Amino acid sequence: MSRVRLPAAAAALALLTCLPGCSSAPTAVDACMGKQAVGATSGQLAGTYRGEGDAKDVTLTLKASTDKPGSGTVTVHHWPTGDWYRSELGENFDGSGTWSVVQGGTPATEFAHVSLSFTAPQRFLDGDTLDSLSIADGDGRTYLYADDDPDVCPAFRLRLQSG
Amino acid sequence: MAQTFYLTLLAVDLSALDGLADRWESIHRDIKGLGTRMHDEALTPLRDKGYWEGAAAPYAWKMIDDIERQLESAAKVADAARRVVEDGVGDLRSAQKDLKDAARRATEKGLHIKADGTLSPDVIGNVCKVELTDDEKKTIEAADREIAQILKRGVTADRNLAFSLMADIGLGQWFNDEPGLTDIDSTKKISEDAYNALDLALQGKNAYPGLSSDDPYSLGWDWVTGDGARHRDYYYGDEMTELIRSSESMEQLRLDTLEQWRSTGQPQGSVAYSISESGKLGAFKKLLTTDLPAIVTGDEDHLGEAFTGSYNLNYTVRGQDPDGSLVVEYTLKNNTSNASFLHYIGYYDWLEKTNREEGVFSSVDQKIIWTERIPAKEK
Repeated sequence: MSRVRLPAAAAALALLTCLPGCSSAPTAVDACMGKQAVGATSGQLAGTYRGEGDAKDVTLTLKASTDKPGSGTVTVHHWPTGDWYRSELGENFDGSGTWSVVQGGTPATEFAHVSLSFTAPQRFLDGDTLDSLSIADGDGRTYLYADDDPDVCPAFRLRLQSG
Repeated sequence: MAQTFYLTLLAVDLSALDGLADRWESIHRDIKGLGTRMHDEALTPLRDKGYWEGAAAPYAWKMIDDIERQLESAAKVADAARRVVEDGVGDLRSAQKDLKDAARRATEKGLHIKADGTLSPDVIGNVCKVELTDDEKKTIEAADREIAQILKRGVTADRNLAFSLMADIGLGQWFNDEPGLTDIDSTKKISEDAYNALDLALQGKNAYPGLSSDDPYSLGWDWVTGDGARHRDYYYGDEMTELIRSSESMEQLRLDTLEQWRSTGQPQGSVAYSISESGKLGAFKKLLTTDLPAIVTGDEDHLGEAFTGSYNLNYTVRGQDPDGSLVVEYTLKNNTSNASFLHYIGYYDWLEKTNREEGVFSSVDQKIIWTERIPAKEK
């Protein structure tokens, strides 16, 4: 018994010691990607993103509008369809539409997010598919992600490719 | 082109709904009274005048009687649907007109309306300003509020129309024999059970998915052992769903939902419950004083949130009753994993790397979806 109890006690002690002692990130998003953004500009967001985690195989490209700041056109590849049109489009689709950034820092919206409006291959209405992505920025890396369980690194996340 | 509710309401051609109401009316005119004719001209002679006798006759009478009742029910549904569409299109048309007027006034003042109908907070006189005067701020805020209020009316009319129509048509195999709604202001008659079933049906899902046998203890055990599916969906009535709904944290999130809806008029949004707001010591204290006791005693006020830890709720407005009660569909995604189990010690990249995809202690994703009515008095 003591052979089992000793490592278990050591692990418990390590965890308890970690509680006040280890320096942890304030959120799971900070720990794996960077700080959740309150605001963002077209210049920061435009570019091609490649998926990680559950978003593996997904790409998203944001092009900035020349006359409307914080908005532009979007194209996606292998985007998750969601429940409403799965029977017609399958699990994923390639599509396009428009995007705009909704700035945070207001009572209704604490953090900024990118809002997507798909017009092809389907006239999706709000919420029919994944159409809202939060923004994280850290160490020069920009991520867009689905803000699901705050206790773990977002499973659906896309990283802006440099260059 | 873009499909935000704001742009859709501005651009939509509502005459299509007028045409729909006309067609329902025409169908009702054509089938009204067919049930009585079926009774008088088919059933009565066959049964009462002895035109059809023998072993098969009672079965035939029953079938004809069924047809008679179906015709009567179909006529009732057609009439109710026509009235609901007419009422809905009236409200939508009024909201559309007011929205166009409000958008025109805002544009004349040089304000910038974004695709979702909210105002850019720093654009006035077609100029983006770093510093705004108090009057300019008030002008932008007033336009923002006005458009949000009109959007709220539009969203309510749109959703109430959809669910009132669905409730009248019903989910059964046969025509609904009691289509109880003749306008879009009687949604109070649609129960939470019915809203959940109609909502799933509208998404092409099984309206009655059946109850899951999972509870937090069995789910925790499956995480440890690696047994069962690694992705699970829960719906209204499931124990996992009801534990979240009865959690103390949900009381504030319902208030937050109402507040957001009232201020933005947007059909969607998200609200969040966080255990890390008070830091690691606060989270650890909560673990010791609330979560662990709830897990030991099965305390329904805290067991749900003890299991999920922090959580985000995405909501979609499904309707609003005339008394202000709001009907929303909530979606919660939770992940049971090594990292989430140890969230109270903090968030670390190394901890994320201990998560496993299969076998013992492998992550289990859960999606919890339900629709509920938030009473207006919660304010």
